[in-house]
Amino acid sequence: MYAIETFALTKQYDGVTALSDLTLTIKRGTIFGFLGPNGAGKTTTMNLLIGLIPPTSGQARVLGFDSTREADKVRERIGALLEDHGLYEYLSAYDNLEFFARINKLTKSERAARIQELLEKVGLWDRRDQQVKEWSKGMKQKLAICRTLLHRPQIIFLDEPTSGLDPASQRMVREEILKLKASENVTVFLNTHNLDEAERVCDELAIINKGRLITQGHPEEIKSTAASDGHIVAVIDALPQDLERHLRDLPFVKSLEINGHRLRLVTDTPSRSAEINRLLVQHGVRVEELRRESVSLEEIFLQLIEEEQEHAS
Amino acid sequence: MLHDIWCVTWKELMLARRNLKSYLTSYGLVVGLWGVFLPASSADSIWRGEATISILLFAYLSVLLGSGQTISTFVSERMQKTLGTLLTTRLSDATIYLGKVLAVILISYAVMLLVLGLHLGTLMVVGQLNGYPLRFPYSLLQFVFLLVLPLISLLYTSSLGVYISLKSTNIRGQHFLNLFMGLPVFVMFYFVLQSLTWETLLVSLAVFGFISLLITRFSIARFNRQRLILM
Repeated sequence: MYAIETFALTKQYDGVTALSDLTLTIKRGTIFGFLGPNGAGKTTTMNLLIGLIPPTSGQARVLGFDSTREADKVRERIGALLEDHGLYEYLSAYDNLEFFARINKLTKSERAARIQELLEKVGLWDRRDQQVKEWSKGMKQKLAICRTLLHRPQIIFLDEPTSGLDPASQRMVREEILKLKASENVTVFLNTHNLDEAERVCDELAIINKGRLITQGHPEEIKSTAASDGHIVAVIDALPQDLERHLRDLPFVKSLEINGHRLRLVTDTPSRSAEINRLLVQHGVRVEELRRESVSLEEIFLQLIEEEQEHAS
Repeated sequence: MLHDIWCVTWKELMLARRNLKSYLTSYGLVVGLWGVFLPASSADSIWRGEATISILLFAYLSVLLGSGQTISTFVSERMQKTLGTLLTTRLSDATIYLGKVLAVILISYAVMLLVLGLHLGTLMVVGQLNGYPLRFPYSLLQFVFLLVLPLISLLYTSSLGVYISLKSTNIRGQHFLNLFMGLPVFVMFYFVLQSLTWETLLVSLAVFGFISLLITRFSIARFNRQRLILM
């Protein structure tokens, strides 16, 4: 059984389509990154999966339960961190967790043990009695992630958990997600527009734009499928006058950047290195380095979004 | 369901405790005015048996306290963006609502009892200083009125307050509407006090109680996730 399945899930607000025909499956135990620019439909999808809003059409099943008709059963089994951390700033860290542990019907001894276990895992046990308002944003996010895990949910939903954090805090939160995922054996549904985060953390990705799913798969799989272009970098000892013109005239070269003795070429397919090398040698250039550059997820993401927009228009 | 309601109430009580300084500041004036100044300045007329205005003002305090606490409990949860997280939990909409209303009633009623104690103490002291015989300043009927009607008034105020808060876009607008929603209560208290008997008290309790429950029912219906998450 999948952790999450959606079938042609669609949501419209006053005639405006926020999500269109989303069909996807998410295996249990994975960190699933839901990637898209702002306004792509990520939060709407999360709200639909948690059963906070009903779909206009289509269906979502979370842990086998219909997220509209059996929303209460879904919410019993999941934890969620929305865009805002949702912590009570005037309560202490301990009381924040105590409240949510009570909601989830943990007994007094279970509450005490579980709160201590989670706060110790993220290194906040010594600060448990401090009011949350005194804390940094990164610490609040860590506490909020602990809150989602209190009742040992089978899935946690995280909506942009590192948004607005400085790079050090982002890294800290990312590491905590990975550590907690490993120790709690939980499925993570991670909404993000942070490509670096998605690449580092996620086992599987889906890219969404303007409410439409563009692609889904393992990050490397997405990169290899989507990267039809080749990116070649060459470092040469000199740049003869006519070399640039010859390179630009090659039918398979899409673009050329020259930075001193460093050339960066985008070709129609990734397997053009030999031809480039031959041309350089023909011009009497000594090639100090020639390599195929791996394409970053960011480039793939931008390429896919661009293609989608061209397709839509 | 009772467990869930109490969970929400517990959180509100904890927040009030942790926020005690702000509570003392905002309620300090009310306690001083209603608990000491008003009874001290109208002690003579109350000891002479003309207690209507005093009781009326005291009963109206429930509206002021109830509306203020409703704003603090419901609107601030929306403003501080904690409501969304609460809605992702297993709690039902009705339990969240009832837990909060119970907290509004408990906190406001506790403040009312504190003010009532001060009010009675002040009346006794001023009565003794002015040479009135040592006795309870109100009749049993008046005292029951003072204790019970404000309790229902708190249910009315909090339910109507939530209903308004779901329509109001800011706290100022909420305060403004709250002041107006207290007027019918003030008028009703006035007419009941004009001819206060056990019968009129019971009838007013039944009618006011029924109206308050009706408003509570409407408010619960409006207080639902699908609406709240999009606010």
